[in-house]
Formats: sequence, C-alpha cells, structure tokens
Amino acid sequence: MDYEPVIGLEVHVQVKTASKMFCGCTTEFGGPPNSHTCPVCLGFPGVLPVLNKKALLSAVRTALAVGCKISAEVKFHRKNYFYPDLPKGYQISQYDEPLSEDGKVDIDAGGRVKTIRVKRVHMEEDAGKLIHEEGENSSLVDFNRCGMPLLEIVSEPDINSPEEAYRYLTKLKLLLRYLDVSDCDMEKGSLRCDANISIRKKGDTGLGTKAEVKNMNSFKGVKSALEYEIERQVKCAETGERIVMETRLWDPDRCVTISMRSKEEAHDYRYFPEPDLVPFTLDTSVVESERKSLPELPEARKARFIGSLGLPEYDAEVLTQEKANADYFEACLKYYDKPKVIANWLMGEISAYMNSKNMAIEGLKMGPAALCGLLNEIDSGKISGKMAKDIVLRMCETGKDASAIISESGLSQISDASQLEKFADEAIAENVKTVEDFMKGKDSALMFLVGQVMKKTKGKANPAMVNEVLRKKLAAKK
Amino acid sequence: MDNLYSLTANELLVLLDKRSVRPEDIIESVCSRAQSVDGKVKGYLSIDKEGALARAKALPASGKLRGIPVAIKDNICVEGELTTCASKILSGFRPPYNATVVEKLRSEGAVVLGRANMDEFAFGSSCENSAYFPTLNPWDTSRIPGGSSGGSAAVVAADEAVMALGSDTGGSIRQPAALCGVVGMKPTYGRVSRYGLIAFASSLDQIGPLTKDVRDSALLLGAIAGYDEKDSTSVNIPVPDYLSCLTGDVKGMRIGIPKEYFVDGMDKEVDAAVKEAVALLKSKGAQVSEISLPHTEYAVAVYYILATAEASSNLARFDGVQFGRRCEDPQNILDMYERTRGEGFGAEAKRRIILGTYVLSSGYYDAYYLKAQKVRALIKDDFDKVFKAGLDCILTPTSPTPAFKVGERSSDPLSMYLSDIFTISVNLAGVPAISVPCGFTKSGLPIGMQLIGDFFREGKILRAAHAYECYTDWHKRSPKL
Amino acid sequence: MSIKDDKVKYVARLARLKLTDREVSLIAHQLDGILGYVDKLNERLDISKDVPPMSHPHAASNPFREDKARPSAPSEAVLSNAPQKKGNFFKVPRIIEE
Repeated sequence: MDYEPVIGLEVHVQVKTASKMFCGCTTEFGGPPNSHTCPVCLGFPGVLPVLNKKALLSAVRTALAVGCKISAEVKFHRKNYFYPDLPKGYQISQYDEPLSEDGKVDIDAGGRVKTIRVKRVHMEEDAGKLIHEEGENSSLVDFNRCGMPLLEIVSEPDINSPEEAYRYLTKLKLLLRYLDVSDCDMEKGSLRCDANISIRKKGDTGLGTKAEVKNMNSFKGVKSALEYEIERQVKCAETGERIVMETRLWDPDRCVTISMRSKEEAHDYRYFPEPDLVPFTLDTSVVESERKSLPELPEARKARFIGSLGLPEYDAEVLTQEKANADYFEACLKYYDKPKVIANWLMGEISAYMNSKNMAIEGLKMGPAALCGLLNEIDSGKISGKMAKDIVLRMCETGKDASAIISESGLSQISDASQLEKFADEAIAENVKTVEDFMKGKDSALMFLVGQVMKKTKGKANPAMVNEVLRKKLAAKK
Repeated sequence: MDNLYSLTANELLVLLDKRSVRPEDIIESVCSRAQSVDGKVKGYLSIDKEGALARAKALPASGKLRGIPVAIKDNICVEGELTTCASKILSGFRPPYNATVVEKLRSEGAVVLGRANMDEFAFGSSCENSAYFPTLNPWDTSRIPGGSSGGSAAVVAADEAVMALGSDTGGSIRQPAALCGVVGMKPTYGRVSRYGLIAFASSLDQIGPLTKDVRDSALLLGAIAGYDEKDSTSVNIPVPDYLSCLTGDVKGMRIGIPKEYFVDGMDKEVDAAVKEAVALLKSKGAQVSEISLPHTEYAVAVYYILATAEASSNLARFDGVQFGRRCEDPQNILDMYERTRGEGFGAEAKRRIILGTYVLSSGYYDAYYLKAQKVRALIKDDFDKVFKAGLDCILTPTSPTPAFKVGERSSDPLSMYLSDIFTISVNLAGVPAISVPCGFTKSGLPIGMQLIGDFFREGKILRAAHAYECYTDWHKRSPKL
Repeated sequence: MSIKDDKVKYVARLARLKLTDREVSLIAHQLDGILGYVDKLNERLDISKDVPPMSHPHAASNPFREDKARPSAPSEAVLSNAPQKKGNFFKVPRIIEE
C-alpha cells in the first residue's frame, strides 16, 4: 500500500529588534543569566506591557511578504499555563483574531512550482530558558530570552514530503532574511520549527491522526525527523497499530522521535483578551507604507536578473539566495556593465574565497567598486584574466585596490610592443624547428612560440599582443 | 497645634504655606493619633514613621502635596518596602520599583506614611479577607469598614491619615468610603496609571483617593492623574485643574436618578438619606430626573465572571519561582506550584481563582466569559445613552446597607458580592464615580451616596459632591475613638 | 449548571491550587450558588442583536514603545526576592513529566 505524508509546519522566528517585545531590555544573545531582565519581562506584580512598535511592523512586513491579509485590529490574548520558564503564568500571544491570515509561499517541488498556503502569521513573546542540572534534583531558570518578540508562521497541511518541508523552510528563511526581520539561525534558536504530521493512503483526501514533532533544531534535522516519523507511522499503519495523537520529541543523537506522555489538560489554555493591551489599529496607510517599503523579494529579483540583465537562470538563482550577495552584485553594475562577467567572478573566485574563510559577503574587504576596478583593468589589457585571479585574492585579503596591488608587485602586463619584440626575437632564434613548421603552414606552431614568450616574461606579457608581434616578425621572415 | 491630625490636606497646606507648621509636625501628630487609636481600628499593616520623617526633611522645593503624609493601600508597590496585598503568598516581597502613583506623589512632595490593610488581593467588601487581621469600622468597631480598601477608608475616618490611596475594581474605594463616612473616588478607567498596582482585574482596576472631604479628593486626584507611558491602558488626555471645578453650587446641573438603584431589600435609612440628598440638591437648583439603566441587574453576574477570570490569570505569577513565599521542601515542580499556592492564598482568593479558571476553561468560555463581555457592552451603552442625552451626573446610594457586623456575611460569598451591587456597573462601564457622606443611621453609622459621571468628567462629579458638602456637614463628623 | 467536586478538582489542577477535600466540596457548594446567580445572564437576557464583546473600556490609541534598548535591572534587584537561587539563576525543583 502506498502512503503519502501530510505535513504542516509551525515556525517560530525571533524578530530582529533592539529591545524586547514589551519592555526595554536588550535582545542581545548571551550575557550572564538574568542580566537582560527587568520587572516587566520577569512578570513582577503590578508591572505592565508596552508594545514595541518595530516588532509589530516587522510582523506586518512578514505577513505582507507571504501575501497574508492584514487584520485592521491587532488583538493580543493571554495563553495561560504554568511552567517555570513562563514568569507571568501566561504568554501574551494572539488567538482567534491573529495579525494576518491566508498567505502562501511558493516552493520548487521537483521542477514545478508548488504553493504552500500560510494559515496565519501572528506575534507572541518568547519564554525563558531552563537548564536541567545533571544529577541534581533541581532546574535553573534564565529569563534573558523571556519576552523576545517572536513571529509564529503556521502553514496549512500542504507539505507532502520531508524535501518539501525543507524547501519551505529554506524559502521562509530566505524571505525573512531579505526582509531583515530575522537571522533565522536555527542553531542559535532564532528559528524554531514544530511539525504536525500524519499519513494517508495515496489518493485519499481526508486527514489521518497527527503527531506533533518538536525539538528539531537544524534544517537537516527537520528533514531527518520527518523522514523517521513518516516511516514510523507507515510501519504502524502496516502492522495495524493505532497511531495516537501525541507530541513527540526528535532526538538528533539517536535519530528517532520519542513520545512525550500525553497530558490530558495540556490544551486548556484558557485564552482570553489581554486586558493590559487595548487592541491596536492598523490603518491602511500604515500597512500600505510598509508594503511600499518592502524590499524586492527574491523571486522578483531573480526574474529581473534574468529578464533585464540577461543572466542565466542558474546564476540569477545563486545570486539571489542571499540578499547581501544580490545587493553586492547590483552595486557592481554601477561601475561595470557586463553582468555575466560580474556573476562569474562572484560565483567563482570570490565565492570560493568566502567559503574557504567561512565568511559572508558583508565581511569581504573588497567592495564592489574595487572588484569592478579589477575587471576594468582586465578589459583594458593591463592584466590578464589569469593574473586577475591572483590579484582578486590579494584584494580580498588586504582590501587594497587592484591598481595598488598591480603596481606594488609589478604585476602589470607587458603591452609595450618594443619590449615584447626582444623576447619574440629570442624565441624565434631559439626554436628554429618550430619556426620552420609554422612557415610550412602549421598554424598551431605559433602557439608554442607565444608560450615561450610568456615564459620569458613570467606571464606578464599581453598574450594577444605577443601573438601579433610574432606574426609580424615571422611574416617578415618569409 | 495638637489637633493637626484632624485637619484636611487643604487646611494643612495653608498652615504649611504660612510656615506655622512643619511637615514633621504633621507626621508626628498623625503618628501619635495612629498610636492611640489604631489598636482599635487596625487600619495599618505598617507605619514607617522614621522613613516618613527622613523623607520630610528632603522634600522637593514645591508640589501640590508638599509635606502631606499619605497612607497607601498594600497593593500599590513602593520600592524596597514590603508590599504584600495583605496576602501570605507575598510575605516578604519588596518590589524593586515604585508604582507610578507613588512616583507622582513623591514628586508632588507627599510622604508615604504607612501601608493600609485590605482584603487579600482586593478580594472582598469587608476587609475580613486580609491574611493578617481584619480592620474594623471606626464608627463601630464591632462592624466591618467595608472593602477592599477598608484600611485606607478606616485610617482616614479615624484621622490616622490625612489622606489615602485605595484601588477600586468593583467598589473597593467607594463602598468602604461610604461605610466609614469619608469621600472616595474611582476615577475614569485610564485616568490614573495602574503601573505598580498589583492587579486584581486589569480591565476594571483604578487607583483613587480616599479623603476627608471633596476638596482633598480633587487635590489628590490632580496629583496622581495623567497619562503614563508605562501603562498602555492609561489615556492621553490633559488633566484639568480639579480644584477649579469646585464652584460650590449645583445650579443648572442635570442629575439623573436611576430607578434600578432603589430596590427592594435596600436599607430603609439608606434609602431615606439618599432621597433626602436628592431633594436638597433639587432645592439648590439641580435639575433632577428619573432615568433608567436597564441592564443594572446583570452587573454583579457580569462582574464576577470577568473580574475572577482576569484575576485567575493575574494571580498565576504567584507561583514561588521568582518572589514571594514558596512552600517547604517541594518534591517536584508540580508539588511546588500546588502547595505554594494552596498554602499561600486565603479562602476567598482560592474561591475566585477557581471561579475565574472555571469560566475560562474549555467548553465554558462562550457561555460565561463571552456572554459577560457582551452584557458589559450593554451596561456601558446604558451609561453612554444617558450622558449623551445631556446628563451631568447620576446619583445613587453607594451601598445598599450601612456597615454590617464582623462575620455577618463571611460564610455566604454571594451575599457579600451583592453588597457591591451599586458600585460594580461603574467599573464595568469605566466611568468615574465618587462616594460622599450623606447622613447617618439612627445608630450612628455613616451613609454614603454615589455620584457617577461621564468618561473623564471627574470635574463635574467633584463639583456636585463639593456643592453638596457646602450644603451639609455630614463630612465634618468624626467617630469617637 | 451545577458544578461538581470533580470539576472543581480539574479546575484546581489547571490553576495549580492544592485544595483539601473539605475545601473542594465547600467551594463546589458555594460556586453552585454563585453560578446559579450568574446563570441568570443566560436565562433572562437574550442577546438577540449582535453585541460586540467588550474587553476594554476605551478604544485603541496605539500606545507604542519605540524600539530602544534601555539598561536592564541590576541582578541584585531582580534576584533579591527569589525564594531560591543559584548564582544568577532562579532555582526550581526538578521538572518531571506528569
């Protein structure tokens, strides 16, 4: 029997802000335990939340970017439950009237475009962190993370394979990084993902009993966890074992999902409207101004790179995978007008250099103007493409201009005919046999002579000019 | 002068201004009065005479309340000082911050003198629910002072404080003010910052003044009112000069008498006193008319759903993790939560947490909470309609009965809840109201009447209340202690 | 609607409130009375027209906070009320799966 998985993802991303969602504490990562806290994020008696405007606007931008309808009123609810990392005994979240609903994310599913519907994007505050003391009868609580602004992005169960889930997540990450809403670093916890997953017979349209899988802490982990869970559920189905509705934890070391004993009361969160926050209104003008200020999103940018800059699809895809890379590429166009040449360099030597140093383009010492300076030197014939590959590495290392490196290391190409004539004469004199071959009509013999001249000039000669000088000299011999 | 304690803040300010008394003299006088009578009244949880004297030596150069000692209800945070909501669960709690009202009082030169007793977490109408001891009515110490701000009302009535701050969620300032024969005001929701007020029901709570007369009420309200960027529910509307609203007359004021507030079962003497006050105001030129607030009868039910629901959530933070009391030797986290809270909360707090949790729990939300929210809107509409029709204020009794005996209602929560029947609608709607003394029973217990105003029209009810004081001398009487 | 002991126990568990059996039955009894009174909302008042639920006395005025980090509270202040701490951590008993 063939089964297909039905997967919905709940993604939590930490919104990039300077201060927390409801208080002025910093959102900086790290710091000694409880050093980024105050009575408000610690939920001390009598304190009150005040909403961070940027957190709300970032949520609006995200919702717009995935095509959600934005609610005219932003209402917060309290989600009530007890846990030591939740200082107030409730989380300020959104419930039946979220910030936004009904969006979509298009992914590439085996060569065709597949639409994953986004059910809702809403805001909530993060909880603190619990540290379980090994061998002790106690746990420690650090509230530094408590009150950080989060976005919850919930997909419809439109995902039908771990690969699609992976692509959906990477696409979301790309979008959020373009929007500068979040770093989406799963390892740092700025993107977290839970999955609702069930299986059904191929061709069925109903939904099976779902399990919720948590604790997937890397993009690859999501894929592996889903693969495992699908296999587990299929095995259950095949052996006639009942699949129960439950929460399962992904154990990345053992590569299995483990059942958490179900809690009968776990879902009685007693949501009710947060009385400390009067609903906020989102005027159309505010939403529209956010919409206008959205950056060009990766898909549109890729299309433009193909359409108006003439880049091959592959190049356009690669360059738009990081907003900073695409920005760098476009900055180069101001100084140099051959897009494909810039793309080649970025995807070739420069990308290799960054990979070797494990750095992002923001850390590159060579700016777009400097890179284009180099490309112009190649075009002017001052240096060869081969020389340029060495020079670019030194530019990346030092941040110096191409011209500075060329002049200080005497790398500049010999394009002076009178200088080259001397070497050409030597080459002709030293290679009588080859000259004879050429005279007999073996054109390729010339390439050998060119190579000799290049050798004598330690590669600095302009090959085209060498070619020309040699031809002239040999013609004179005839 | 040896009777400084019996003067109002406005009277004392005149003396201070003339430099015929010093702030320290007032503190000394009030403290010695408290020392001699608080053994009977038990209005204070603590008095910090030394701290007050120290502060009196370092007052700001000017301020509306410069040199005036103020008693603060125990649910209002004072930095570094015990703030317990009269609950065991907060025993030892010293907030590392001031409530905004405390900041404002201090910047106006007032001195926090002591912490007034209250029903635990403001749950109650008799002050019997304090985890420490009940406060007693200065007019008859076999009776309750009302609640939950019973301590604040009693210490003002007994001249143990010049003025006091209380909080009012369903009548907790006005009802004890009426029962103790003092003036108590609940401002418009959003008029006074709630930052640092330990929340009971966040959408209903307001801090307000308890004072010896209306002029002091206007003075104290003017000092604490105003927008606070730390409280998202406070409203950014300029604060008028309330003292200048006190014209001393009611000529031309339109006063409505809601027929729903004169019910069967109401105390005959209360009924008569309030009707007499209406007649007096009419004789002084007020235009009095009967009005209807048709959804009044549902107010108590709506209130006990919404207020307990919010409270159940607001009180979740008292869990023994970060502050307050934790149970002995917890076996695990669940045990710690359940015993910390089970041992730390008193009977009324438990009852309300259970009720509030129940009405929010799965399957009951729509029938109780949502429905109550809708009826709340209807109750607010009732007020909107009459004020839109041009009414200046609404006059009602504050409490259906005078002070009852200690223990009389403590075993029957519902009868206790019904003592707030006339004050609750005001909190649900969010409008301001003031209670002023309007007579005494034959047995010498104070009776209060309530004047309700439109949103942010505290000036109008202060004017009417002040005028009434000008025509009468109920507010000048003092209990014999 | 009548409220039974087991319902009170369920709700008490949700609210993390340890009650003795005597408290449970007393509260169940008292809540019966209170809810009986409250039920008049459902019995007597028919809200036929669509009344919007009211959760706040005022409409929105959008009181935002600009996104600026301010100094956090000093650790001593934050931890000074803690029933139990270890270093700069709050300390709680072991968390067991229920």
